[in-house]
Amino acid sequence: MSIQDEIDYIFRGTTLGYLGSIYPRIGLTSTTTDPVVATLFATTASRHGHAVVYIIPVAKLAGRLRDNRGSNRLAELEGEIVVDESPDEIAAKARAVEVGTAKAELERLGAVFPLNIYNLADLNDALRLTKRLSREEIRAFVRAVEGQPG
Amino acid sequence: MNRSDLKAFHVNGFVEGEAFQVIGRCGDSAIRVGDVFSIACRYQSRERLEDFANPPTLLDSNPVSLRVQEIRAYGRILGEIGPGMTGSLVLAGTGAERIVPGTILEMNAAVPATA
Repeated sequence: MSIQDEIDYIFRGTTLGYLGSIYPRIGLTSTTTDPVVATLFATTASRHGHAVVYIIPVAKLAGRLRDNRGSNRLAELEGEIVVDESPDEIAAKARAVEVGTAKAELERLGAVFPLNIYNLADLNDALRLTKRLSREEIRAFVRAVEGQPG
Repeated sequence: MNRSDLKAFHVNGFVEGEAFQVIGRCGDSAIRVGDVFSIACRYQSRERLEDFANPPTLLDSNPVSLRVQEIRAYGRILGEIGPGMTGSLVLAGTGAERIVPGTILEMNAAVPATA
């Protein structure tokens, strides 16, 4: 079964316009199958700029996705999918959602987020303690944010 | 682009082998081969999402001198690991015995001089 049979979207939590420090040079970008994970990363990044969650339909990235979830415990925890494109190429194919909007819609779907993420250990614990969404919940999340002004 | 002047790496586990190799996540600033970690901190882990209302509790902080000899991520050997990336670091030096899963290794990054 290919990734495209299993998931409809991938997500990336970052700050608007951030190109990454190393991704452009190796031509790979890390994303996740779950918007809760992307929202945690965007929340963490928000102290550096305008935090967003990118939503990218996998249909736009056919043949360019690598399932990295089985590579180590962290990648499994993050639902990591690596894309053979740079962050700006991915951003051009994505819909950007404000981190606050993403968080509010996910909370409506029952997700619970930590009040603060203070350091790297907190990010790891937040990834461990938060619930992952089902495919149907993810579709509901995307429908909800698509109904919002972009 | 450096996001912060503090370089940090959260250790999640170890790779078995002859070299001392840790798996984890890079913090806000890229870590490069040749960088030297100088502090190993450990915080009390959170058990519930409600616990995040309070700042983390520092359990201990110890001096180390661990040089980054090799970086691996995405099945490649790299010269640096960027913010938020997961990967493994081969480290050499003193203080490795202090490192356990959950440890945050830190070093001060170079801050450009200003006029």
